[in-house]
Amino acid sequence: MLVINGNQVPYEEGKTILEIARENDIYIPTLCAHERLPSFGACRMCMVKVHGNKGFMNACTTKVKDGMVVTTESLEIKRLRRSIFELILSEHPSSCMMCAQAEHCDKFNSGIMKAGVITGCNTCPNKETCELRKISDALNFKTIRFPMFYKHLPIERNDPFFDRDYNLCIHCGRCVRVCQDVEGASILVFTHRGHDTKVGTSFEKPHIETDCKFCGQCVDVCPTGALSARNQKWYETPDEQVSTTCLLCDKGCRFQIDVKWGRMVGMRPDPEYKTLETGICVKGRFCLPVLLNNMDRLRFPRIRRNFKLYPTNWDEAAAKVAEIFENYPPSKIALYISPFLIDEADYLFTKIASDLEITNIFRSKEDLTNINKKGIKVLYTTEGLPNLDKYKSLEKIILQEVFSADGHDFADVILPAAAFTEETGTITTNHGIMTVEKVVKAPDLALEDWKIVAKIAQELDLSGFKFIETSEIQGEMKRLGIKGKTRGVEEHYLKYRGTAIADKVPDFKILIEARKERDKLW
Amino acid sequence: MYEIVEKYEEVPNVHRLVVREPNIAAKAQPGQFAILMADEQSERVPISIVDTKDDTFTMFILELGISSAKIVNMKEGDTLEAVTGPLGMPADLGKYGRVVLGGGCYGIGAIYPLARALKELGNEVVTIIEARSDYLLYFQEELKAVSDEFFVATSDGTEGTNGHVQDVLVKLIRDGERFDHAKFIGCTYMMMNCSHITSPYRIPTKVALNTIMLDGTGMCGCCRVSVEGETKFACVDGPEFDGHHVDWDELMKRKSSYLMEEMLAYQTAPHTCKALEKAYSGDSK
Repeated sequence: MLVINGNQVPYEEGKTILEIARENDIYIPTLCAHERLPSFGACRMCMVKVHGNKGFMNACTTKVKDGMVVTTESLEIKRLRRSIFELILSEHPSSCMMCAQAEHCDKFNSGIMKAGVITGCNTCPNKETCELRKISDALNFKTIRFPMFYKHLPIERNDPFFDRDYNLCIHCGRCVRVCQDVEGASILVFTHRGHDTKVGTSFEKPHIETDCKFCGQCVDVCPTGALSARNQKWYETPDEQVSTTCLLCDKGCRFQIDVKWGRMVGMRPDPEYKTLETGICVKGRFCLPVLLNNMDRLRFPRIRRNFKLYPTNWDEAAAKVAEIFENYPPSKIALYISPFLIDEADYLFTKIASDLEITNIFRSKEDLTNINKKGIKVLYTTEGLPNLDKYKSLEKIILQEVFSADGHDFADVILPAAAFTEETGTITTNHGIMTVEKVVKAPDLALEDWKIVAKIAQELDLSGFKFIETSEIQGEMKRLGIKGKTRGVEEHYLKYRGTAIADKVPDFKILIEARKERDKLW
Repeated sequence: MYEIVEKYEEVPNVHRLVVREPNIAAKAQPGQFAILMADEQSERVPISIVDTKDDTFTMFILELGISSAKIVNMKEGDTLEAVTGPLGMPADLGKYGRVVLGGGCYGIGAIYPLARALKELGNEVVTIIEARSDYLLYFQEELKAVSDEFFVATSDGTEGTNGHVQDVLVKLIRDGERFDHAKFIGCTYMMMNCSHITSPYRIPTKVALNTIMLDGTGMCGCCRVSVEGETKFACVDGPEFDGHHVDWDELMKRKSSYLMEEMLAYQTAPHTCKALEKAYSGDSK
């Protein structure tokens, strides 16, 4: 047993005062402590009184002892925390926190000012989640007794994906610790000494020249707006947060997506999903929203008429595909199934193939050489078709894609597919079977892959394709004992279906161009 | 081709920009603005003309969103894609007597030509400027030179009065100062607050509105504002309007029309702008 604020709480060996207090819903303000990181004792906001000890102790670094008597709230402690907090804020652009008009200004002004240099909360992308502001509210902070000091450090905008304004830094060391202890990279370190102490890379090199993986964990843990993801800020409070699984490789990382205006605007590793010890990779953390919000997405089914692709509706497009299937013998038709399909879509493709007696199912680029060997005349591809001119036997191409991948201009039917963040289903990853959630609506007429297959099956009068939800397909798969397989997509694969991610994400292009000499890009 | 003759960061976020354009330099009058485009695909940004010299003109541009970011990431010697101006009506200038001028953000610079012109017309000019903190104040010596009295306000109290232009204004009025005319340039919030202060004292008040603008010649209607219940175009009827009769709530709502597009622009922008691409690819710091 130990006593906190006069109440008995159970003692657990090896835990710190802060951990015990949090478990018992006792609030202690902290800035540098983070549940995923080892204790550091940098900010000193968590000072508590341990009876029998002189002065005050850090709650985050002091281990509890049986019979300890702790006080977390008293006038003396409040005064101390106030002074510490004021000292921290005297080197942080905090004028908005002290401004008498702040509340009225927030109400009247719509939106954060998207400034290049953060000079106050109203120009800060982190305003809504700022931990300094939360503590400022808890301590009822309104004035400061110390002279203000602005560091005039240059804003670091010369890296892809993030902006770094160390004028806001409070030296809590979370980014340094997450880089060192969680990611094991040690790219971020404290540089300089004494008053000039600053977080940065060794020799202040741009991150792109270091071994930085651009996992973005430093951005995620920063309690201030010092570190921010360039293309994932200024959206303030998201409308909703949805968790889903990444499909860009076999790893099966979970992330939480901020949704606003019906678009994906922010990404972070799923805080509920603890099996992932490290962060998500640069593709998931920074590239996905840019990739899938892209204006180049396929939006409407198109069919070729008079040598030109015209937009049409789904009925006509599906009828056209059915017509092509009926006009060619099954032995001359091939399906190219992308590894980026969810298990249910994959199953429906194999199902329609067996119903139509199509035996040519390609699953990799190597399989495409069979086109010439077998004299395939119709190719239904879900991943584009590179090096089209090599395949002389092809007469008709059906392209079901998210982007206008290779072969788009020569296709006879274009079927716009939803991306994996726009459909519900399951995928098989290295972590086993995981769920994919619908985060946003697919653009315009784009449809889930399995729905497109079902539509075509209905046009062909095939039975057994009347599904309303993917759960029904899962049920059928379970009954038949069909299990999804991992797809063999390696972590550093640079494409999503038939499109290179770098083509759609300019920052990613900068990254892979700058590091093309290296074995590992990140 | 419009060459940037001079460009440097005056204080964080505020950049002084001198552009060579003889026609604008010859014709610009106090209160008018120019519309700039960094590249072919960027937004058209209206910026107040602060000063002219020979065949160049000076502006203070505040980095606020991707289009202004593109402009401030350009270097001396670079050329802007398009410069249109001078646009808008010149500010109402006359011999009023004692005039109070208020400026914040980019308005600290934008208020300067008005102060100078009013001073030349024989007015007594009282200038008040505001910023969040002392390190964000600029252009003070120039403003002092054209003002009879000069006051500073900062939100955190690091210099001058702790507060805003309106706080200094209230204090001056309560101390018995009489003003015959007032002009305010700055963020919409500040202009609204100041207009609310001068209204009960019946001080004629003009504010320079910074609405969303597209062509700047009255064709598109993006910059509509309601003044005294009448729809006006900030680009051709303004930018100066009677601060007591502007519909501030509507103005603020209209200004937030494109929040989504403004945010999503950050996802693809570096790709479309050479200046930004350079800044982001590690070539420069």
